[in-house]
Amino acid sequence: MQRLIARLDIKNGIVIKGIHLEGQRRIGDPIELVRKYYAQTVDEILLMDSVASLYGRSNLFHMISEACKTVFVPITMGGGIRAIEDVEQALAAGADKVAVNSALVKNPELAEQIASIYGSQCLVGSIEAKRRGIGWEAYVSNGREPTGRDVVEWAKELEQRGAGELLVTSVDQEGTQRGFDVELCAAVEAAVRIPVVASGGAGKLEHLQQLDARTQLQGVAIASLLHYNKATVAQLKSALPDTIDRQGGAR
Amino acid sequence: MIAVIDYGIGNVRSVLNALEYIGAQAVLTRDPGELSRADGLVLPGVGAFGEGMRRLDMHNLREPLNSLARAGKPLLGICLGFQMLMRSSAEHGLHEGLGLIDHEVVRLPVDARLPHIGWSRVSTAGDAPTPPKLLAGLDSELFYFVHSYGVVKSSAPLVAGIAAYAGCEIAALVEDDNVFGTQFHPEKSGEAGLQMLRNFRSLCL
Repeated sequence: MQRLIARLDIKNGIVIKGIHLEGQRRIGDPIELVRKYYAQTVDEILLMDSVASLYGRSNLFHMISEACKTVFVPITMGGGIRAIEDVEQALAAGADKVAVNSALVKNPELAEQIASIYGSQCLVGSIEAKRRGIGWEAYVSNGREPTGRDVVEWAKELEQRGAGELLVTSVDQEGTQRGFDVELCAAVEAAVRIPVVASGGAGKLEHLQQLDARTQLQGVAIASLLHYNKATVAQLKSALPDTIDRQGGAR
Repeated sequence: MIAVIDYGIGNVRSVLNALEYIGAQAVLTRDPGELSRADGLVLPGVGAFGEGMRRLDMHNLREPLNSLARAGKPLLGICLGFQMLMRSSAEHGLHEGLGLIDHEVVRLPVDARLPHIGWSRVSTAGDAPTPPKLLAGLDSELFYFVHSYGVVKSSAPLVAGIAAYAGCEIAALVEDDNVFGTQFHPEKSGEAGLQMLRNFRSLCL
């Protein structure tokens, strides 16, 4: 695991945390939390607008502009990216990457457009996965709407269309703090040659170690452990042998 | 004043923010007069090499950049900006670069996932003739990389700093007199990156 990413899901200007991407508990002010995790030497920040499909999106752009004034690690913006203009606006605000889910399901060619204009490194293919029988189905709208797409096949298609990395969120595990869907991560990892980041389920340090023992993912996105002050960035990194604590050197 | 070159590509906001954060006066511009009045130039950029060069040409920036760099003005290329300092790139066909540094950009010859995204340690190249100016106080710090193409270290003499990815030695930093380039993003590399920008700024005064 090379990168430890702080994931902040945002609703109406407040960081929230749900279970299975649903229901919300208020956590705090996004800018304050971004600065806190940056000061703890988090490797990246992921800001997800959880109601972007329902309300205006300008809040998050403003928030990213504000965060970028004092936070100098990569920032990914997700939620509500529907067209090239949204990507342009996200980057102009200071984001480095956009995480896109629904818009790619509706219009897969958007992946090629984003990659050709801004480069693959700018596009994170965001997949919300739910277990279905022996496999997983891709969902949109915070795990509420099924797409009929098989997650592994969809991951391959996203890679082929130009995504530079994949963010795989297990809707089943998200917010439960019961551990990652390790099989899901392993299946996606085996299917593609671009970096894969796991999200959803970490509730204790052992969960990171379990994931790390069975996969060689490039990153992990953490919400609950950080938001509920169950662990610091340094403690999370110490649980993962390949992450590097920028203050303490390689472990 | 440091001029960040505006050619309509990539996340320039963060470069401006980082320069302002360290107390530099930074402007985003493509005006030749402003470029020549600046104490230093930063060529940022992400994305495809061909598209980057096309946009430089679209704004007639190739000639002023070349002549200002050759006249001794400090110039820092970042990521795609670093790659465009080179002679050529093999990204989606062969493209000619600015040619300020005589290296070629190739797809990283690694048996590993690409892009290389993440933090890698940058150390002084073993054969660097002098201690790299931008690495002053920063040897073996971590910087943020995101790239699939790059300059392979081999025996290239102007490579000042190196990083390793999947066993491949990558040129992380080049320095040729007043021309500097970083494959990584100092504006996204936390405190170490800010220190590197301070080092660059001190060369511009």
